[in-house]
Amino acid sequence: MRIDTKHRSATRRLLLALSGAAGLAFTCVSAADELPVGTVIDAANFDAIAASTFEGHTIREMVPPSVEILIKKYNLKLTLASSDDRILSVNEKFWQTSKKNAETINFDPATRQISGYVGGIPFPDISIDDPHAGDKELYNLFWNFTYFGGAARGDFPFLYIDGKKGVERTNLWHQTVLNLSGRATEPHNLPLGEKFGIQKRDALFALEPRDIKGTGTFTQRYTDGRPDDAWVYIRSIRRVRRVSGGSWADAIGGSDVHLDDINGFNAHPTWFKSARLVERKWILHWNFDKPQQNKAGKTLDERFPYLDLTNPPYWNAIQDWRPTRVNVVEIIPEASHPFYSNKILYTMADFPGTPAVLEAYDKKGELWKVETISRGTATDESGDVWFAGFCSYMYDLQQEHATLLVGDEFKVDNRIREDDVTKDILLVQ
Amino acid sequence: MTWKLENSPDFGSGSNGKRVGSAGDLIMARTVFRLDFDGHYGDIRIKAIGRLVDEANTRYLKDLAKSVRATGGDGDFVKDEYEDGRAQLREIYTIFPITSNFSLILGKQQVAWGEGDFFRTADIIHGNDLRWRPNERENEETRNPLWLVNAILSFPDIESQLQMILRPGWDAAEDVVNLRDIFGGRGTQQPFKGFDLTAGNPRNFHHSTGDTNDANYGVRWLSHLSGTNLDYTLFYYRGLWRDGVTNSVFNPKNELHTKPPKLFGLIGETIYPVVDQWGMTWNYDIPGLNLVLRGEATYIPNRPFNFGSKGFVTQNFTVPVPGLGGIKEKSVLSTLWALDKNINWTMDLLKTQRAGLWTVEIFDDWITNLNNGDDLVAVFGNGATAQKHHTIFTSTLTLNYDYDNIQPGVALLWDVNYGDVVFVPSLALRFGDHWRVYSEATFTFPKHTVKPVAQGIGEIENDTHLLGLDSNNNQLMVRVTYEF
Repeated sequence: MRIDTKHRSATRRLLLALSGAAGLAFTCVSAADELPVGTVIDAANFDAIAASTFEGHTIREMVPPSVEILIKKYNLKLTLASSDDRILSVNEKFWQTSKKNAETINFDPATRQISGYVGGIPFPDISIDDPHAGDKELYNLFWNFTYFGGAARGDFPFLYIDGKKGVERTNLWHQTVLNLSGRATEPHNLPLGEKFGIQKRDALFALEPRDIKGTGTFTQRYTDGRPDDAWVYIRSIRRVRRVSGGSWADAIGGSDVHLDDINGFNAHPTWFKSARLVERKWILHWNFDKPQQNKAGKTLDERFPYLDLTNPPYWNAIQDWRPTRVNVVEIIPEASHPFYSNKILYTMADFPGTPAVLEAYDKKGELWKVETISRGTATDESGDVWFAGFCSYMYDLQQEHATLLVGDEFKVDNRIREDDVTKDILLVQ
Repeated sequence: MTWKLENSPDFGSGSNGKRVGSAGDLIMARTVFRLDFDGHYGDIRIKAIGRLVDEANTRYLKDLAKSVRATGGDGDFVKDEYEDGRAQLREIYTIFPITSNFSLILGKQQVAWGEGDFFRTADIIHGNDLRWRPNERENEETRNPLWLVNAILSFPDIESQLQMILRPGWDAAEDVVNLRDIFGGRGTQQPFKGFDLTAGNPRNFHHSTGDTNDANYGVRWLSHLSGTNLDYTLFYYRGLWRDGVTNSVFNPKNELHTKPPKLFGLIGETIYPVVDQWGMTWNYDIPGLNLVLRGEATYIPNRPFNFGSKGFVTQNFTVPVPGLGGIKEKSVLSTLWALDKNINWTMDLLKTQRAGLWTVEIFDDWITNLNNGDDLVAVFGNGATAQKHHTIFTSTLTLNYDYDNIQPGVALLWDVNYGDVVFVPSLALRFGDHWRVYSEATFTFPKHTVKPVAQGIGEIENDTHLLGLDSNNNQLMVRVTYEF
């Protein structure tokens, strides 16, 4: 895998320092051993078992450099689990629609726009040799919400964590997303999506605590990459205020997340300068098939049983990590992007456009943030299985601060109509 | 809690015989309990907001009250005007989705029109309670909820909406109009603190020209100019002139042909005539500059003004209270031109964590048919005459540190015509899930202030304008909030 050495330089220096100070624990596993299911990889044994394999792939290969930092410096532990226990699946209608795109879709290299898109994932089969593979995977990411069916909604907590002190605060948000175009089931485009070229409408508003309750945003995104129309409702003045579509890369107030980080990639492909599918490989990743929150819990530890909120850095996920085949996409922002020089996005090759890990590099080329994005599934009223829920955990390694979105209750709801998701949704919260 | 930062030039029979109001005086100690309720019954939603106020009668307020009573006023303003001890169901309303494109919101609610922050020319439905704090920026706390029928009809195919508002007239009179501290309290303009200005000019909410029990109504069209980034609204509202005008006892038969004041006061009564208000608002996004432009224009063909900058003047006598000459109606176009911009340079220069928010608002009142001889007063009781244009520039900058746990801000207001300046630095702090601390200082730099001549009487002058009314009242406010 060829990655610009400038971006690896900081990582490499850190890795060298860590390996020298690791105090390697001796294990009974030789360098070429196949590790059993249940093996826990941590800072103590990482270097010793890096050359070992699991399901035929070396640990070194399957742990991205950013995750290696999380293990060695930030106490992340990976428990190995079999990829045979597949967590994710999507119904066959989705795949049929996605495959239909191949008959009609066209990517124009000059404009980097697509035409002839029907629904679902635009490019479910991308050849590694395709010179436009990177852009095509970005379009898969752009249409990623179609994995959630026609619409989805749910409440989810944000946890803001200081890596040295612990959980600073929490708040609760609600999100409703309606796909107006590219829906995997008929009709693929709702009337307003067809008429105005609207891809989706996204309403996000705070439920707790009281000082932000009711404050929220409504965003309307377009299929052709024109800037979003966005509004924010500020409850304390009871007014809906227009927000510039030019702020698509800005930070979400109070968090470690920038708007274009959401879901690994939250932008139109043409808003970035270029993308390159670097390689396909296997990495260790986790998704979930059980609730990630215990609503009956009285303490934070009880409420979030799959997060280690007790031990520094207070942000690690406690999960089973499975070998996952990924596309490695290098995304280059325009020079005018105020924050990033480069992003490396690992997307699930078996579910194109589904993000798994994001590495974001600052303007100096130093590793700044790492995001892990995980999915669950749910069955709708028709018995069809869709993606449901997300856990997006953003770690700012420079500030040693994290923002965790535990969105496992974000579920498909095909009853949601166009009239349900308008700007007025902000006024009634 | 609020403290004075400077001495007042007041006259008053203070508790120690000295002037009322010194730097360091605690002028407000107010506790508010708020409770929100949200309910769903199928698609029907119910919301309710309650509030309980407890305001301490500080030594400063006691001294003011003593002065008010000594000059003929009531003096119970902590209870009667600042509403100490009042429990209030501020809002209670139900949202009925009748069809997919038609909703009814019925009950006591707030409907805020417009694009403005400081001076809101299109936010015209509600009265505002500015008595306890005239410059409170979280205006959901000062905007008085009203009993409204709020009907919203959507036209999604053309990205438009029609909103119809009916206020049947069931509200308490005080909720319909703007209430200000003119009873001698901490917010009364200098040098009239400690002197009840309403004693000789009581409010008449039920005048023939404007009665709060009568219905008010309006309609607003919201839309988007197709193919552009422009959103706009067009509106009409027939309501009351919420600031009121004084119906002079010396000239009650005026252009409005009003009846003589029913409540006989020393100099007149404050009435709230009906006005027609036409307007539009707009906002326009320029994504390439990360900039939003916004604006308002509100036209009132029959806005009432008081005239007589020298007071009521006859050959035989003069009552030297500016504005007592009577009432004239004029047509006024009020406009707002504003911008919002996220500014990234604060991250480099000021080390903020994310972009700061910079806003600019320029307000202008244009009396379109002002004639030289009209002699309108800009503010009743002050001798400065109204000008054809009165322009105020405001700007704010909000910064963000430590994941928005620390948010300093600064606001500047500048009267372009007259040079008065108000400067408001602020700091918002957030601690965990429960504690919030907000502090704000207000510094007024007027070009001229009304100097006291005697107790409760100011000099006759013509150079004190809107932003200068709060002179000699620099103050620091600190608010601590615990959220359950």
